[in-house]
Amino acid sequence: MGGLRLRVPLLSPCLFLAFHAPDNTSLSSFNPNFDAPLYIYISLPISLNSSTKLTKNKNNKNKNKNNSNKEHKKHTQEGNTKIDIDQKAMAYEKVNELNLKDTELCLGLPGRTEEIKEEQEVSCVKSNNKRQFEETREEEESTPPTKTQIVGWPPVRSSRKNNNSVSYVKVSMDGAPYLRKIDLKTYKNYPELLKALENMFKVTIGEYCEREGYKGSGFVPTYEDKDGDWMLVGDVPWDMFSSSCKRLRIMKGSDAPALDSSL
Amino acid sequence: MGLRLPSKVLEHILSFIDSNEDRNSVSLVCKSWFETERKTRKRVFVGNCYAVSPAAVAKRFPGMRSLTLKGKPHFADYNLVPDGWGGYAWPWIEAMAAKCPSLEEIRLKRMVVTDECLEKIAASFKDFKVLVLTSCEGFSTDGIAAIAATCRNLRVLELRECIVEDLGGDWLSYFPETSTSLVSLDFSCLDSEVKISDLERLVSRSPNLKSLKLNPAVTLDGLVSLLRRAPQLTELGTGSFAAQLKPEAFSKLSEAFSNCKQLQSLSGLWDVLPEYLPALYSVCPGLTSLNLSYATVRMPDLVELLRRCSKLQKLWVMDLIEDKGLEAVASYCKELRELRVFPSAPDLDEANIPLTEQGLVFVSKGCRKLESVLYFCVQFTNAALLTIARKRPNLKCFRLCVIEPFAPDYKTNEPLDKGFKAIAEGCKDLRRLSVSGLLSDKAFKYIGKHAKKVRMLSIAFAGDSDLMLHHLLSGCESLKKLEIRDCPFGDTALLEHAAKLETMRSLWMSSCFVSFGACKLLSQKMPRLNVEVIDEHPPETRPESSPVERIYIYRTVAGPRMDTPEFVWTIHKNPEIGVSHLAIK
Repeated sequence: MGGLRLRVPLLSPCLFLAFHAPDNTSLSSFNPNFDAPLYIYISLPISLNSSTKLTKNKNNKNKNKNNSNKEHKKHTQEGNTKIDIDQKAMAYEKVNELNLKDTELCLGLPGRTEEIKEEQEVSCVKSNNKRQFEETREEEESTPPTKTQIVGWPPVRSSRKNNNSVSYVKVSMDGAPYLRKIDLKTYKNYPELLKALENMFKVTIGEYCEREGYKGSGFVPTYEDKDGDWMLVGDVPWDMFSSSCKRLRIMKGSDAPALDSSL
Repeated sequence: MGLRLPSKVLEHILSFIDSNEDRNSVSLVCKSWFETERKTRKRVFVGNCYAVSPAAVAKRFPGMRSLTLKGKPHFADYNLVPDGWGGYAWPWIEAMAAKCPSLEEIRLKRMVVTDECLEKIAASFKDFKVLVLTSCEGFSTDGIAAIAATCRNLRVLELRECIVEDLGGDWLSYFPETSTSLVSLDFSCLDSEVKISDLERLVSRSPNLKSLKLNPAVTLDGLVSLLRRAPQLTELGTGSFAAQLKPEAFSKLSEAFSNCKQLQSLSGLWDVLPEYLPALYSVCPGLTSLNLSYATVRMPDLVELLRRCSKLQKLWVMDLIEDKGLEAVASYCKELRELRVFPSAPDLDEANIPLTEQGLVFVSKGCRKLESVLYFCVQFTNAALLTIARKRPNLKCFRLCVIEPFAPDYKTNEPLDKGFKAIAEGCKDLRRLSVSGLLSDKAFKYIGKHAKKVRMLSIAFAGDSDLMLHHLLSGCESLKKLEIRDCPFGDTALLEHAAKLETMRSLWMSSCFVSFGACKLLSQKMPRLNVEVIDEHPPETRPESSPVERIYIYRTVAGPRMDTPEFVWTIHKNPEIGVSHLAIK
């Protein structure tokens, strides 16, 4: 089998796990040397290439966030690939064989080294898109590079994708700490929508009036339409609104520009 | 030579043989059997329009009555094949018009059909009866008008999910007042409004009309009046169901449906408001097929509808049905054979639909006849797959799309290898398989070994190395179509198993690691394969080892095709010539 045996102080299991990729069988070859009780000997496992290929999972929010098990993977665009046919031959190498790369000692977890990156290109995206699968994006609202950017994925015909079936739109309110999302299709008319917004943000918006908008309440519901323009909620028939609304913003009365200035 | 069967006798015997696979075998026996078979074959099927030349087919089967052709690779449905790739129907129509005047039926899938083609069909085949275009493009409503106007005995005109240049609804008025032969009309993919009075008259004078699929522009009122005129319908695709509910309209609709006592299949239902669903209750007990995949209706309303559909065999629905809804389906729809669950918000990452693997498990447990599945789900587990395989060994088609690429079993964090192993091993009659989620080479070892009857296999974002392709190409005895995207390998396995590719209809690989050098080698090695590279840049401008964007390899007896666009490069057999795209400029 061969391998580099490292003499390492016996630390927490985390360190142990750091060199263990999920289906690595080298653990069975682990041979404790009882003459040196203060240390353990670890055989450097499978080539760093194959170990990083195993867990490609990026950004899976449900995944255990135990960092010692996570691995980085960098995906680059096609134009950068310098695939060497020799390296592909490595695919047939047995799991425990090592190549020169493995004898290099490095700090940190397998997969972090920059030299590795050229060997693991998987172009998941049409050329021109760079993708990075990193473990650190936790917040829901940050936009990780995800399936929305992959051509032809999920494999659904365009006629189905254009369905504005479930029309979730983001709702922001000036002064509120985070955005909300609502499905416009669950409301049949403006009063229902406004009531839901009032409940969601615990404010009073008031009633719509054609001439003066929402008077007296201090809050003005506006929306961004398909053309990117910001409009007052309530001017157009409900159906027209619900199919063209891209997002909602409840402005504070004092911030909202005067509505009737142009009329 | 010994005894010879008189050809009349052989003809008579062959008249009982419909299956083309059997007829292909018959034609290999000897020359006289070949001759008799070819003269008597009525239904011709060509799975890849570039595998054989139109002239050769026309010459071989002069008595052809029905022709079915397929053009673009399946992944064209998901925009992976650039426009202009090919799949032109014209050469075929031209050849048939010249040699097979008794042609009555043409069925095309994923082909480019022009108005000229349609006009030629109308003009050339005197007894033309059936035109079915599925996922086709390149024509306008004028072409349809030509068919309507000229084909006096037209029985079937179906435009299924085509991209049509819609110049208005006039085409419908081109059906002559004398035409009474219509059996099936499907114009659901057109946008423009047709004149409802024209449609009413057409329906009224077509006593044999069994299937009618309207486009969304037809209103509810229109639907009611049409149903009154065609209570004998067995298949109905409604128009839009979104009009404001008026009590009078509702009761008229209800009544119209309750008079359709033979209705078995229902589709359309775009934007249906839940308040209208009760109008359908009267037909539910007789329904065998229900397509709710465009109905944005929530689970409770869906369940209320589905619990009345005890004879349902085919159900297409969106994930709005949720696990709970599928649990209901499992208990009420015991005859279910086919289930397709589509994502309601395919582009939204944060859509929280309560549809999980559990939904499919419910149906697998409750519906004993389930044999075909298409299921979109955010993530899955091995345990679920094992249960499905155990409960439904009779599955013939299993297409699972785990929407999150590389998603492992979310409970154990393992790859889905074990799960798909169970499917491949347990479902011995599996003909079609699509895999997804995190998969290592091992999964494909199992599939290669056990999926002996799988003819079509689709793979995305999977595997670790060339071993994956090696396992598939050295196993999978019945493999005919393989399509792969975004998998990290290519060359070695492809070259090693080049011979296997000739036993298959086609292989598609995109965003993989197949190098230009390997493509060249493959093409030189295999004279009867067309190796086509789809790439923005000429492959020769890059090093041989650099990967090409997409390749499409298919067996053919027609040689390289002459209609490739700029971005498709056919690899020449002669290494000196290299690469060209033989386009007729």
